[in-house]
Amino acid sequence: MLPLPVLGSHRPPVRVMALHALAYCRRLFYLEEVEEIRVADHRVFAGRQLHAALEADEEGETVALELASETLGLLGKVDCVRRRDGSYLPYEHKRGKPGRAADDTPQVWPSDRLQLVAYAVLLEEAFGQPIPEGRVRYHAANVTVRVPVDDRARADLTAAIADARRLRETLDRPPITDNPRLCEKCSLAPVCLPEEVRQDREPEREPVRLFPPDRDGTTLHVVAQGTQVGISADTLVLRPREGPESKHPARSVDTVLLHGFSQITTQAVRKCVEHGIGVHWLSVSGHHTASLVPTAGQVQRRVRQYQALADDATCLRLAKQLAAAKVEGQYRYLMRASRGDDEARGEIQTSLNGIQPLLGRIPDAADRDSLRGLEGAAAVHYFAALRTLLGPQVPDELRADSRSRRPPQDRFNALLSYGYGLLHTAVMRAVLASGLEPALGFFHTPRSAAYPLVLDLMELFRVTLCDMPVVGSLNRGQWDPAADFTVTRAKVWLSDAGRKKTIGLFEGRLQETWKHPVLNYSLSYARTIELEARFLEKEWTGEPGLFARSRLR
Amino acid sequence: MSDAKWWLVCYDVHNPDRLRKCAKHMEGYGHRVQYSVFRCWLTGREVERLRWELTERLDRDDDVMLIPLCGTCVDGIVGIHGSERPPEWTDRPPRHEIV
Ligand code: SF4
Repeated sequence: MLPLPVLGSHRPPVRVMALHALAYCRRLFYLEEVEEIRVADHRVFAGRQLHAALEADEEGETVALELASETLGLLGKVDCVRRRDGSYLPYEHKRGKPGRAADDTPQVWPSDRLQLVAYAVLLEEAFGQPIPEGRVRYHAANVTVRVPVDDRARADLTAAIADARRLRETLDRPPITDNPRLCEKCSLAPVCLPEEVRQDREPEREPVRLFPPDRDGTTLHVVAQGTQVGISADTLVLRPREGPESKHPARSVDTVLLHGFSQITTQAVRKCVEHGIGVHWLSVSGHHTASLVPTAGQVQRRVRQYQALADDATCLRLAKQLAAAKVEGQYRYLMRASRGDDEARGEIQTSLNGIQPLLGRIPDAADRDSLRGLEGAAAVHYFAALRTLLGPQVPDELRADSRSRRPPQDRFNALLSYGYGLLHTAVMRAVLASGLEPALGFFHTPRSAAYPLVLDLMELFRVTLCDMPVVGSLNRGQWDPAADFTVTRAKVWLSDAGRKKTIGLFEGRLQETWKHPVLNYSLSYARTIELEARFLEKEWTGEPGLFARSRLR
Repeated sequence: MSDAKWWLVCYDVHNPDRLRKCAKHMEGYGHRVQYSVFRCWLTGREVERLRWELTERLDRDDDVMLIPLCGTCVDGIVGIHGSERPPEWTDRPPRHEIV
């Protein structure tokens, strides 16, 4: 694999905490230190809390010494040092329990040992005194383990620093660890997805579920025109033109979507960046305009993506997986919707007959152009049939004659278009969260203002996240042809009430959970989008085979 | 991430300056239900983070309690003057809001 371009000769020192990660799992080190993916988990804060409590309690400890060594290329903050008989004794406090040797004597964990030795060596340099020993205290077990700082320990430290350096200069993400138990306690598991890879390699295995089933924060849709989004302390304050203001604690918000003409203050934007809240702007008709998501430090991921997607064969392979998933999704939805309904099946059968041979030709497509042709032909059949899925109770105004995209010419297409706009933003969020570059795709060609990679991934979700809920809601009679739409001769779009309903419908769907047929666990559709984006990245980071595998049952 | 639940955060802070700071800080985490009581939907990570942040801002003799509430606890909430559960006490916060 190519080395990363080195800009200048500046090589920042290795942090001791990073060495701790390295000894835990090399991939963890790489994700955190090189790719700069950091998910501070509760252990980090709990650790700080422990140190803060100790700071006040324990005597004879020097606290918070920031030390650096030019010769070693090492940097670290030593938390606790005791003086005993004129020499220094570094201490490390850990919340957890020690490891155990075969005879049950407590043992220091390799990562803790490396960390302590690094501190000892930094202190030696700073104080000009040999430090032959240090200690690690495990609070949960009330045990202190002595750690000799001998030649072997020093050699291990030098080797670890050299390894850290090497890893910093490669694009190769190390593989997942051989010890699955490490992953259960790893804060990066939802990003790294080790269990998904293991399950794919050994399907018999009972996987441990590490990917969260649902998102946590709230998505705030600012729809009322003229609303101002401001900030007061850590609270987002929404002031509509009319009516009372509403307050939203920043920690509880995940994303802000500004629809049409609302304002957000610079201070609020800054706060959103600070808290990692994504801000997305959409036009009144639901089209994505711009996104603000902090994306610093993703150069490795993007370089890899460029390298992978510059290759035609890779693009064609991915495009085939994608097209197969999409067309099969359409086919299965039509089958499912007309099951047990002979009359409907009769009309739909023509379309099914049209789609099936196209599906069979996808694996043999010679290039992406022919693939686009197959996909387009399938879409024509699909939309013809989609219209017939509307039951007799649906009034004529809500039906469509054909698929008219931009601008939509009827209410049915207006609903679909708005839904696809929302989906575009949802996929955009997942793409950015995964550190991918939305402008570089493998199937759609860069043309309009839309992002090719987002358009690519969207194909996996159009049926489940837009078509199915829209058809379902029409059949349930949830739409008012007059109040929910604005109709002119040139186009049909949604009224304020209609937009709110569509957002509610779409968000409700994102929150629904379903069981992933390959991974065998349940998760929300919102999380599924992110999962697919992360699987896509795995296609070119050494763990291929997981992307676009899920299917409608 | 998926271990989020409702937490009641109650505090007793002895100095008005710190009290104000504490309240401001809590507003970024959840909604005030009574004078010194906030209700927050927090993951394990956020609980630890909040604890740590409050440790930094408060004095040793200030008191803070973080009380986890399970679904049954939330369902069982009663008040006086009609023992209805306040309407904002849903079993979990909404995943989206349209304003
Ligand atoms: S999840 Fe497992 S493989 Fe991935 S970084 Fe963490 S410990 Fe390493």
